Amino acid sequence: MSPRLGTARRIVLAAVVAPILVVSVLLAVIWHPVMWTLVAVCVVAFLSGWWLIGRRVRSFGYAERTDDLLVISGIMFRRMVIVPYGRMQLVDLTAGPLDRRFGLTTVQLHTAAATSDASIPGLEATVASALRDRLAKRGEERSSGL
Amino acid sequence: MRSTSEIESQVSGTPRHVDARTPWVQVAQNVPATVLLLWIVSGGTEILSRSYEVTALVVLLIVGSIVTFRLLQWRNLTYWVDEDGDLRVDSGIMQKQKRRLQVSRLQSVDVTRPFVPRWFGLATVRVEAAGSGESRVNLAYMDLQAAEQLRDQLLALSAGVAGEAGTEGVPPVAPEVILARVNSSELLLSLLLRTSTASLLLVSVFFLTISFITEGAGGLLIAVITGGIPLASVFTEYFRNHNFTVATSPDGLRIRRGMTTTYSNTIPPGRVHAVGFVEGWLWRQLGWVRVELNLGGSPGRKDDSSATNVLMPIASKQEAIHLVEQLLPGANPDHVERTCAPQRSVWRAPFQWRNVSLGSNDEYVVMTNGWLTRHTVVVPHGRLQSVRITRGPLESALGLASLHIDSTPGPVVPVAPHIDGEFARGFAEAQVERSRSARAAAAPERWMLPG
Repeated sequence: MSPRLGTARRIVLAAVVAPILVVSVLLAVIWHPVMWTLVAVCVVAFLSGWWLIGRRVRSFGYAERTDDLLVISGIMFRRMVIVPYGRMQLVDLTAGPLDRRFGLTTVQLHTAAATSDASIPGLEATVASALRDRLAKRGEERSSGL
Repeated sequence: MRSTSEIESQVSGTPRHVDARTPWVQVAQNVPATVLLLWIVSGGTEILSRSYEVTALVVLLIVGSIVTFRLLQWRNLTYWVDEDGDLRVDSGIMQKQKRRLQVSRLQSVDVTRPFVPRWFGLATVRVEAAGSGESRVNLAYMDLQAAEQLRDQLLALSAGVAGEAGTEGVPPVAPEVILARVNSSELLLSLLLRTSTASLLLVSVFFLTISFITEGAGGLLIAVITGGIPLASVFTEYFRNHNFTVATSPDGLRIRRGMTTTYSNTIPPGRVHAVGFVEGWLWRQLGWVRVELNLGGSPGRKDDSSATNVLMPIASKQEAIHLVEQLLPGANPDHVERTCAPQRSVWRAPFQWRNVSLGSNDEYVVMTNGWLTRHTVVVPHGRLQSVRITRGPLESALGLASLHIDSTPGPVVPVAPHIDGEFARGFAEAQVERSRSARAAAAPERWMLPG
């Protein structure tokens, strides 16, 4: 995973928390000191979010094995998916505006099952497209219908 | 009996119309409702209520336009099987539509006989190919014999017996042998005894009693809701699966069912991705089981009543296994050695854990789960899409994990919840390997071709 994924997600976190923080500080100053508790909550949420994002981003991982792709993710709720190359129906690359800013891409694998959600976020754009090409090639070699 | 020349004329691919009575039957279905609606509306409209002549003219105009529309629709709808064996359908009055359903991607051909067309001996053929969107075609209405003939032909073509080009020889007519028949009163009873239905009905009885004792209307209202909704679903299900029979044919298993509208579905063995045996608490006391299927190519269209995911709405365990073995030979869950969840799993799933197990043999993975309603799932190794292991915080603390076998969308959910973590991990790796070798050795998609 690119370390910039953490940065990108922290920017989103900051963008969400900052306006609430500003409003609650203003309210605390103008209206009532009780609003300082809200300020404290915001700060705690921000710091824990910051820390959690770091852990969560580090938790993503994938391994290209001989016949299948293994994807792991999660800290509290951990998951591991093994997708045989022959079962892949399509490989999606997506990048939102902020992702593009940081040169990041999410690779998502689809099979005939809706539940086999294997996505790898925050790959460098070049790494992602190279991965996609490799996956597509292996999928074609081992394809076996439904 | 169908003659050879008739079938050959279909194979050789001259465009054909559906039955000529179609527009009139469609009009007959729509007109009474239209006239009734007009009559109600005209009660409030001055122009219409002024004279019979105006009313008659308006009715005539409307009926006339419906008839014209249906006639044009009929004239522009043609279908044929082309030289590649693909089904071609051209339709549309203003906007022409030309569709081609590839025989290699054919998923199902169902014959449905709706209430009114049934009186005229007509039926609808619904053809579905793998893929999304425009991969489904409804041919309405065809003479029942022609409909069944087209169905047999398409299934035979997709199974590979009619030859690559579809021109050599006559597709064999699949003779049917009835394997199982569901007694309709037993079906009704079994539907009422489903865990959710039975408990909701009990709740409504409770509220009815309360409102009777207290003479209040509130309880009555709740009882109407808690009782009415499950009863409505019971009767929908009952009408759909009335006279349920399962028969063998070389195409697969053929299901016939329905009361007002009758359906005929064919389940080729090659389409079955997972089988689930469902036993509610009350059902277990009576030794009943319901058999559900995950099929390839019909992604969870629950609203579509002409497709089916139910192999048997109610059967004895023995009967159910016998039926499933017709589709997946040797798929008897009792013959597969399974490992149960460890005792510490009681902290995560205090009631369910006793019924959780997971195991596999050379051909199938079998898993069981559920507390009140027990599920036994069988997945052929070659049908696995992916393997997934999840663990929540409590599971991690206890060294447990849940193993999911991802299958095509459908009612069957293959999962072994809260089993030993190490075992799950090892099983997943071994399972992926087993699936890989099963796929490598898999028979061709055209399942009727010898060898």
